[in-house]
Amino acid sequence: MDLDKSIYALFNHNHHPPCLLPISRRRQRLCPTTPLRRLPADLRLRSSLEDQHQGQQQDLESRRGSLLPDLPPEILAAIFLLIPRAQGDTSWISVTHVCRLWREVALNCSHFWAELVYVRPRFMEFALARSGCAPISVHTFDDTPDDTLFKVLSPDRLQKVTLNLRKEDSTVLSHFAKTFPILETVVLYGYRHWLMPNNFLSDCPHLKNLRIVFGDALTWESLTQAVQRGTLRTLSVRDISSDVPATAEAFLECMRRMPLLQSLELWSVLPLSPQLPDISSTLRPVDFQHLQKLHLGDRGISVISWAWHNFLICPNLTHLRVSRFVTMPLLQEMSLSPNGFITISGSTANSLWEPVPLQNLTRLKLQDSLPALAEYFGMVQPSALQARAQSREPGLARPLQAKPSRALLDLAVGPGPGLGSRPGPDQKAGA
Amino acid sequence: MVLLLTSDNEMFSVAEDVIKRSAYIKNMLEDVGESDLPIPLPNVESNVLVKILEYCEHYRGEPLPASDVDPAEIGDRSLDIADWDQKYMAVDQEMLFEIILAANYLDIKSLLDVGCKTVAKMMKGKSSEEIRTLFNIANDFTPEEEAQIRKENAWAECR
Repeated sequence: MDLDKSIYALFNHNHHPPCLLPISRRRQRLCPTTPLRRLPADLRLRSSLEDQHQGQQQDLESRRGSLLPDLPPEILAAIFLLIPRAQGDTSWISVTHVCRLWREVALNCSHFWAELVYVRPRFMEFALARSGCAPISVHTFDDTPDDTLFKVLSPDRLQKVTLNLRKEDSTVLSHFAKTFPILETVVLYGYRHWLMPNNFLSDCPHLKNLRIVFGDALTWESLTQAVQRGTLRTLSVRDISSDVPATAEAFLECMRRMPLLQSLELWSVLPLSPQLPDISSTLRPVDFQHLQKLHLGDRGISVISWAWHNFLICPNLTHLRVSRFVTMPLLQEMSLSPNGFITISGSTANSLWEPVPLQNLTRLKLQDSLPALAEYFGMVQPSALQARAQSREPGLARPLQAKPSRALLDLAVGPGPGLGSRPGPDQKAGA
Repeated sequence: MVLLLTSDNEMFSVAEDVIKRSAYIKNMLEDVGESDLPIPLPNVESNVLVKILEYCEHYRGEPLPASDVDPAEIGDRSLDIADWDQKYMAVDQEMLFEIILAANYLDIKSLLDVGCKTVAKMMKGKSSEEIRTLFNIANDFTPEEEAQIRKENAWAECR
């Protein structure tokens, strides 16, 4: 660019010279707050234009040969946000140190600074200062210094939080009795004794995901208040316990508060199994119309009691996983019918089964024509025994390759009535 | 059929259900209705459009993918890319960025997502210097700015 001509243009036409810089940088360099016409034509102006010229030259130099075309800032920012952030690793800020353009894009992208995965407190403060008003996602410990911790757990901005509880006298959980208008995800790892305070998460109108791992004083009653708004889509509860044994009523009442649930994982948390007379008397089943994924990991007898007796009705289930049958090592005979099993809409069933060590199982009756169910038990039986599916429906009749169980002697697969509906009272104890 | 005119004046005749993966073209067809006139694509060259059409043809008839499910746990953001998409994106960097730009212009969100993920994957775990080398970008920071950056690095590393 001819510098003298530029000066002429500025004074006579009061417009900016053509610029090769991206718009964002053009704004920074070529939009002085004082109208250019009023600037004195002195050395200061010349110096300023020389700087500008030099900047443009530098910019052109930096881009010469670069394989990056002029990606719009919003795409660059989207790419930056996709870079994974491993635990404690802050190498993701390296993109802000590549060149001026990338730095400017990153600095202008407040979301880029608002996702903090186990970063050190000082860096947390530093990033928060750059995060503007962006929703905060944070993964941290409750022994982070309070000043920093409560800054990052800002009620107005917190969207996702994973909190590791390990500081005995921490008051951080009481903080969650406040209103968190945009909070969507809460993950708690209880590495210390902890109690769920009153009104915990009770005023989070957009809470969608809740995961609790380890809690030695957690009750279904206390959890019920946390989910009372009925907004949850995902619930995962693993390894919680209480001095007072959980009741079936409390468990079902809590489940009932989550009608929108799409994914449910319960691992070693099911209460004592209900007795059969209770099934038809006081306990009402829970109807999960939206549930697609169910993972039950517990004592086999609990799973059978709760799931197979249709306390959890899931007509739209697509993924089912049953774990930890290991506490039934002596099981010798098992008979399953669709009426005694979790209802699955037949054609969409896509079960995620875990191998189950049923070494002593010698007799298995599957009164079901559901292929997924037959395949499951075919998969988990160890020997090369052949069994034949005996279905009345020709399309589903097929030989079944029974694999595990060295002792499996008898396997029968028979048809069952239509799936997806709850059986009548006379059909319930089909097992 | 829909006629598309690229920036280098190449004309393409494309099945409507193929190109409707582009929200930009889809909206245009809905707004304008049937027409014999080609739709000009001044921001897309023919070699890039060929590549874009390959993507649209592959996913022809498939429902538009839902946007990435928000991960329940922080840090779960996935850079998983389907096998076919990975092979499709195995192009030189220039073409990769042209595909991203065209996907952005034509509003093909799934393709834009794949493109951005591919670039993010390339940058994963790399230092600023390695990224510069990867994309052939010059370091245009002043010494003062470099000093500021070094300070940032110190904050990131110290407790």
